[in-house]
Amino acid sequence: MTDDRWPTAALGEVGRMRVLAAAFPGAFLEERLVPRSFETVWGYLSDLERSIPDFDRTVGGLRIVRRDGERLEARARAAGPVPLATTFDVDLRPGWCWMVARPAFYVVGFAAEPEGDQTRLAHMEALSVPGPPGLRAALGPLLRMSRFGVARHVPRDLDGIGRALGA
Amino acid sequence: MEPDVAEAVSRAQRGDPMALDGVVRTLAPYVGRICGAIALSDGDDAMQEAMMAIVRNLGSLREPRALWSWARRIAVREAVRVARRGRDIPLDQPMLAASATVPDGATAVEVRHVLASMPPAQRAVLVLRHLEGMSEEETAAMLGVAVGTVKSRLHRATRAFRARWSA
Repeated sequence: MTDDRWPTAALGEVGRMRVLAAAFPGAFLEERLVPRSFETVWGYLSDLERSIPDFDRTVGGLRIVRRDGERLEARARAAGPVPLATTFDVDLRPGWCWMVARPAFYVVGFAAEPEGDQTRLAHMEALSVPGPPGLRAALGPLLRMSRFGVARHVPRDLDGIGRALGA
Repeated sequence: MEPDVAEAVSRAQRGDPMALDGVVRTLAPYVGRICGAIALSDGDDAMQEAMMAIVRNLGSLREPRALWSWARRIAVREAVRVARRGRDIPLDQPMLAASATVPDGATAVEVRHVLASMPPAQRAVLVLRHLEGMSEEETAAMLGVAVGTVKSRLHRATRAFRARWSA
């Protein structure tokens, strides 16, 4: 039975990012309140070809090679002398960007919501291991160790986003 | 359950992050309804904690088709737990008796007032019986209490609602 008079709860985009981060033992998630409007923050961030190589210095370039509504396919090239390429499946919606590397060894997420005239921005990265639940549970301690590396990278991305927005 | 939801659960259990996001989006309105009605002003926190418990333990769900009942159990447990530690202090019995005069055309505000007059465990009984349509026996089993306890909680709860809600 549904009755819209009963109170309901909601997650929001940032809340959903916190939930997904909880699923990855090595995930690191950081939130910042950016003193810019949601439109400004998301307008910059959602232009992935421009924004990601701009704020993430480990990425030399990124190109959207396929676009089907909210689903994108992106190819990222590493910065530096060895231009390693990674393909990402991307789910891009207002306030939400969920990027999954093929074959699902790495996930990158951004979520944003207006908070007054500012923007709450959450950024998460994690190693992700495909395989049966038992194998993935067994790898949990190893994956948790990977958090140290991700924990250095995520704040740098957020610093870069803040610099790009002059915030 | 729809076959594509069961398939998404299976893929998420095997470590597909895109499928995991799909499962979270599918479950969110359902979990939000349970957590909102039981935890009231702490509903968003309860929902986030319930969804975190769900994604952390998704690998232990042996039968993907049991997703909804499994998620319901977690949502009720987390909502009662969060509501008990939160600010939703039940009002006294005279207030509960007074709220039994909620009219047929009760508004959302009045529904919320009636719910707020009950302890969280009593709200859980009401949600499982009236929002979820579970029997007294099923409700007792889910909450881990005797059927007689469900009956007495339900009696107190339904006194606060008019006949069309308690039928």
